[in-house]
Amino acid sequence: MAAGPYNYSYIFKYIIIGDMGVGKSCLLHQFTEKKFMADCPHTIGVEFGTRIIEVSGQKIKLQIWDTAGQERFRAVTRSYYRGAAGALMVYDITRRSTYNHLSSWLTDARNLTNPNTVTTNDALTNPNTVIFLIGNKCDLEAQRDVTFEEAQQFADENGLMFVEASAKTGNNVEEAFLETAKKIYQNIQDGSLDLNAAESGVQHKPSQQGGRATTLTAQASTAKENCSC
Amino acid sequence: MLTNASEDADGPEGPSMDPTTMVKKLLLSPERIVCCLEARLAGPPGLGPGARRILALVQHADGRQRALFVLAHSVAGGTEVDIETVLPVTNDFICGIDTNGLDESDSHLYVRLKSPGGEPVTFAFPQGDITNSFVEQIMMSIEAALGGDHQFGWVQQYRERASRASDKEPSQPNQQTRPHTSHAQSSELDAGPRRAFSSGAPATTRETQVKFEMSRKEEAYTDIHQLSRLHRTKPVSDWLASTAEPPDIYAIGFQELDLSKEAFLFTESPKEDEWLTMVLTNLHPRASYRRVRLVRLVGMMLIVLVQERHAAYVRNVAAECVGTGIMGKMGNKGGVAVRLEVHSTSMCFVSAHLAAHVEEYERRNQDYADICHRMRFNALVSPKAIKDHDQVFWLGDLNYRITDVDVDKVKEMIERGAMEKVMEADQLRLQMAARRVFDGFHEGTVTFRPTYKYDPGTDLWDSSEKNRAPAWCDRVLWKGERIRQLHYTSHPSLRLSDHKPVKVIDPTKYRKIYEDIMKELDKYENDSLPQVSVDTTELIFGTVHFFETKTQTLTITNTGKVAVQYRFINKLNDTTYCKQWLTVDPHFSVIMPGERCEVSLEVRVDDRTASKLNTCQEKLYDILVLHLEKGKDIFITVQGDYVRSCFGVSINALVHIKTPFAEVPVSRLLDLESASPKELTHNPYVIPKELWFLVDQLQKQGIGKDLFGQSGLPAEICRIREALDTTLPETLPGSIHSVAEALLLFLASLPEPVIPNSYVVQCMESSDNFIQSKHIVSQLPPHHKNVFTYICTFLREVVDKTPPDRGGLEPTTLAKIFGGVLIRNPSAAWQQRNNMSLETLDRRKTTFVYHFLVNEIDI
Repeated sequence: MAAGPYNYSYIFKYIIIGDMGVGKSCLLHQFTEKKFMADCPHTIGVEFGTRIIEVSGQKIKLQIWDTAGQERFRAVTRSYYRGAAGALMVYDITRRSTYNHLSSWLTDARNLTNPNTVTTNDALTNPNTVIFLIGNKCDLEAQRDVTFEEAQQFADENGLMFVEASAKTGNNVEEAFLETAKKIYQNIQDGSLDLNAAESGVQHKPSQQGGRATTLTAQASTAKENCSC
Repeated sequence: MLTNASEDADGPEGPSMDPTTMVKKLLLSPERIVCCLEARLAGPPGLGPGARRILALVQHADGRQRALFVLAHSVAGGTEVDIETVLPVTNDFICGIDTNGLDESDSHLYVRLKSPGGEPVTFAFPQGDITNSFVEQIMMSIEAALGGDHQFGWVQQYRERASRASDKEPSQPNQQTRPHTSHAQSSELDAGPRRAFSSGAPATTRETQVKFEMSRKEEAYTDIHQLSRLHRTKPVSDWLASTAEPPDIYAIGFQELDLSKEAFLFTESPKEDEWLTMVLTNLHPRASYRRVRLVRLVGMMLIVLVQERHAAYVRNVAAECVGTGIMGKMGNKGGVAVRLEVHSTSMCFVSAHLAAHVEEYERRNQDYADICHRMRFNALVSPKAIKDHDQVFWLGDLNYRITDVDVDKVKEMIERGAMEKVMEADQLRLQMAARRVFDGFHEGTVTFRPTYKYDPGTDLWDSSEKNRAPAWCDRVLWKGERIRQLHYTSHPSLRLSDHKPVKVIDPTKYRKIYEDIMKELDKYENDSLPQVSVDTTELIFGTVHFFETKTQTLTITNTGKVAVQYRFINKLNDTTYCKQWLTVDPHFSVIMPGERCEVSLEVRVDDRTASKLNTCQEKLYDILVLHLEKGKDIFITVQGDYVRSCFGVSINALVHIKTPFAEVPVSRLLDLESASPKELTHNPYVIPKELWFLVDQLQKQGIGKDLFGQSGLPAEICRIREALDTTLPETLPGSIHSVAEALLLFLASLPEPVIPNSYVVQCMESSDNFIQSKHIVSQLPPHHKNVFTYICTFLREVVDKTPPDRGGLEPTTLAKIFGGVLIRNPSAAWQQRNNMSLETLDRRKTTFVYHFLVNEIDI
């Protein structure tokens, strides 16, 4: 059977990172289920979600890893950064501490997603992982603790895409995931993301007879395979 | 159970019997029929369905594997059926809707089934819910199918019966396409690549399913699920509900609502509420609606409403206004717009009121350009312009007129119904053709009378002295994919103004249905991810002593819909999935849906791990990563409080400790274990007192009792450890064999072995030579040398007093036992470089110690 228009041609790996309680799982749930998950328990581990989206007429399958935010799991969750094409870095606009920790999350996102590239001083030159900053809980305007402007400035200074969103109302959630994909796709198109690099976080799946994926890169879960016993 | 009686094309038959019952008789008890129906083999194209068959989807006793049974009647119309073939449903199984070369009058659904390596077989199913759910079941079975390497052994016996049945007279001698799966093929068919449980759907399956779902919903989107939009310009009542089916979205545009001075100067217009109320009370009665947004600029207003059931899928709503009137800023002319996203389609509705007056078409073009240029939805993440939407709709009083045709001629042509003829003189059409405005937009065929200009409240053309030519001022245009206009009408019965309202309904049916299916598939895929619950993510073991075993159970329950393969996996940079002091059993397994697995986690600190825990280099704390194949990971935290013990403390530290070990503060221990201790006692013991207690007891009570020939009891060893740590014991508890083992454990636990690691290579190299071996021992650090000679002296005594002929161990056996604890292996690199196997190393260690058991130790 010839592959039809319903197949996806790329798989992008995303990670969602940020402090505990900023709403990472709710963002994922809102994106995959279009529902707000009230009373969401703390993630003890790494949740996994998937959705097929369309960018520039291309079907793209997003594989999203939602990591535990608790500090004690930090060392473990680092295993999952590897090979992510996109990183959604989340803070809570009503809790300044979650904003203050962004630089540490950013360092991890820069350094661990592409361990083979520059990891020392000039980490900003690493272009491969698209990092999208999300100020979540923007529906709680009355409790705002971090201004839009300062976060925008932080994002600008670090070359991040940025939006304030609400996993509760769904506002801007779709955008954050889609804009990240668009940027990754753009990076593929202009050649700045090398699909053949093992850590690109992208699998290309040219449509072909039988519709089987031709994986140019290692599985998106490279990190996990590497550490399997 | 699904059954279906299809119409009879084979002539009369006896009383028909439920196919499920017939199939059931052939199955062995553990197998279960998931669903079963009658179908026909697809005949040659155009000839309609052929011979009758029964298809049954059968589930194996294991609850996972499924196979499709194709059965034929033994005798036409009889109540006996024979198995014709059995197709294991692997994840390479293909099930597709065949739509090629079909006669439209044929009411059957043709489904093509193919197992890998087999020939495709097409069956004709009667259309209907039974068929739909049958195909759906097959699709789901494929999605959830386990890898092809599962041998489907249970299928074999049925196949054998099938081959026996085929030896009989074929029940349908003239069948054209017989499902065919030979035994030779079946082995190939079964041997697929190993696939993980609940693996993601192969692309073919997903595609097939989309096609199938699309074909199922065809009816829905043409007749029922219209995603229609009602655009509406100008004043209003029952026209909002003039279609049979309720529209999904309403976009209602108003112009010239209130041109009072107050409206110019203040943004509040009392008429806004009136109009909104009027709209809300006149919506289609068969659906309930939710207001998406109302936006107004002076006299222009746009209301967008969506059916309640779609409201959850509407996102990122924004509204903006652009005034182009007097001074280019006032709001008497211009546009208001609402943008939104439904599913993943972005839509923009622009309600516009462009410049008036017959000759001002250039001005109108400019207004259009201004609105396009200035309208930006800045509230969005990435600000969007009108053109940045998948679908754009313009509605409103665009004010383009009919020119260059005599007024009376126009009126005459309209009376004749020659609307399109008049349209040839329409400024908007002409300007669009010249690509000077609304480039790329479409407009439906105009069949309704001009909407302008009437004497207010009447259906009579403008009778004022201006005697304006009638014109289609009120228009709806669109741009974007998959928009098809259903109706484009005017509502002349509304006589509130000098315009007549215009309405358009256009379905974006395909798009929406498609999005729905994709969403369902995403949901299905997410639902098919392995899901488990664990009874706890934190296992707290409390206090843990050396050599004490503490066990806790973690219960993993499969709460998902697919079999789960779990495995504890390594963390980044780790080579094992858990710390050495922890044992997880089983560390990987498969759990069936609804079932659970009890995993035992056992903590035991032994000789390998004691010293690091003593000196705080490590803690009884670990995070395990419980990984579900093709799914999420769960972190399991394990922690306990280790109670320090003299086991695992170095010789050099112990000789300075004269109180029971438990009384030693941590700081003192850490100081003693450091590279250059600050607080040393002046007269340290010659050997650690604990070692003396152990050996002394063995000397007093153990000689002649098969020392080291039997193992101790863990519980007794724990009591011995307790006695050594907390007291200065006169005698140690437990049997002599437990004391013997405790001695070995004590030696094995030393952070630095009796023969320090820096001497190991020398030992290995000169183990054959007693003189050299003695020399090495003489070079050892004093306390290590003391311990070594002390142990060897004791062992010599054991050998002397209980020679092998009196039941004692061979000196070589003792040497082997102690060689293993007194000397440790050199580095792996050294072993590799010298090509030395572990056996060789063991032999050399034994030899080294052996010298000192059979010779005088005169060091």
